[in-house]
Amino acid sequence: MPIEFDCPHCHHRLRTPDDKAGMSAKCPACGERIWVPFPHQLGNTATSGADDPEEFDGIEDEVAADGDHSDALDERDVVPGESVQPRSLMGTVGDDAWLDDEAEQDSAASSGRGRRCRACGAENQLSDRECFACGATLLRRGQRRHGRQQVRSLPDTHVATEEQMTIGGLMSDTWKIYSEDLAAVVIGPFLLSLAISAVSLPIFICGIATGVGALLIVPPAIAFTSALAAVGVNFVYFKAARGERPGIGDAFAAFSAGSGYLGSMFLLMILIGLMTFLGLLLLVVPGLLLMMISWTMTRAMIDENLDAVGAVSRGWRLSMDNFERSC
Amino acid sequence: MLIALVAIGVAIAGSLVPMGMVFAGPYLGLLCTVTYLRLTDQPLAIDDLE
Repeated sequence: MPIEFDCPHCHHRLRTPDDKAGMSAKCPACGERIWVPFPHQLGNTATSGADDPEEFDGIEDEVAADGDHSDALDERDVVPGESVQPRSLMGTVGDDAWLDDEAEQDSAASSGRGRRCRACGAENQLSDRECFACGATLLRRGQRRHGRQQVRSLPDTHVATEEQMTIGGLMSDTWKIYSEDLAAVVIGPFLLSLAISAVSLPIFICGIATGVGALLIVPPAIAFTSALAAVGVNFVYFKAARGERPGIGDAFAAFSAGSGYLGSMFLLMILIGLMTFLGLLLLVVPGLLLMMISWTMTRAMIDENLDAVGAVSRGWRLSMDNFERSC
Repeated sequence: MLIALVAIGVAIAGSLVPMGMVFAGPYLGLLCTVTYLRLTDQPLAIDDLE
């Protein structure tokens, strides 16, 4: 059964055999590179239906050779290079992801372009999860690009059972992950904290030595080092929890792939610090409460790529909606 | 002798605390992450092993 779809560039109606689905081609009308959608995506692709479709078979061999990503749900062999910044540190491309070839995505990222949708060829923002033109999924939680390794695919959602949401269930699950990735989870954050301490200690000493100036230097320095640590260790924790086999060096993600989060995390740390301080000043309990739920904010920021205020809001709602469990 | 024993005891206890922090800290951090993923209905790697 032939596939009929519109060129996303010139909207020329095209038709090609369905065995070309997922492959790259050049539009015979405008010459732009396009991707042939899979039949199940035709409902999402733009179809004007105004013209008789033009037959074409300009499939590019080199893409056709590896163009079938229909098995992408199972396992994905990904290549090194973290220059593509997904929606969040943890966000990735997934099953319907239409991920262009990795080298091209890296090239696109480095050149300032966005993420190309493989369904329609449209350029999307790197932060987009769905293609703005055809609605195909670009990003998916649970998978991310990391090194040359097999990344196990996970379903998009998993509603935890009552047992899994008990303290015992959470601790048991955590222990399984912890013991499986012990080296990376322990040594990485430990080395990161050593590095941060080595750099920040002189700053703290100098700040304190300046007397009154300490108020201007030490709190921001604490917030910044906390932000560095929070991005690095959470990066490792998320990877471990999602079965992506973190390495010891992943804790230093804040210096490379996670650098985009440092500003927001720095502001978040200042916000949390100020709110906790005010809460302690008021009646102590609000400050303690905030300290108890602040971990939801840092993780929401990393997971959902929120700004500082958004992370506070998200973490607060998450905590209040699940108050008994999250505390 | 007693002083030496106390000194050794303090040294062991003093090294256990940071060692405990080195190992317990990541566990607690991971516990928070696991809880966050559970609260947001996201899957864990261990889910498909069970």
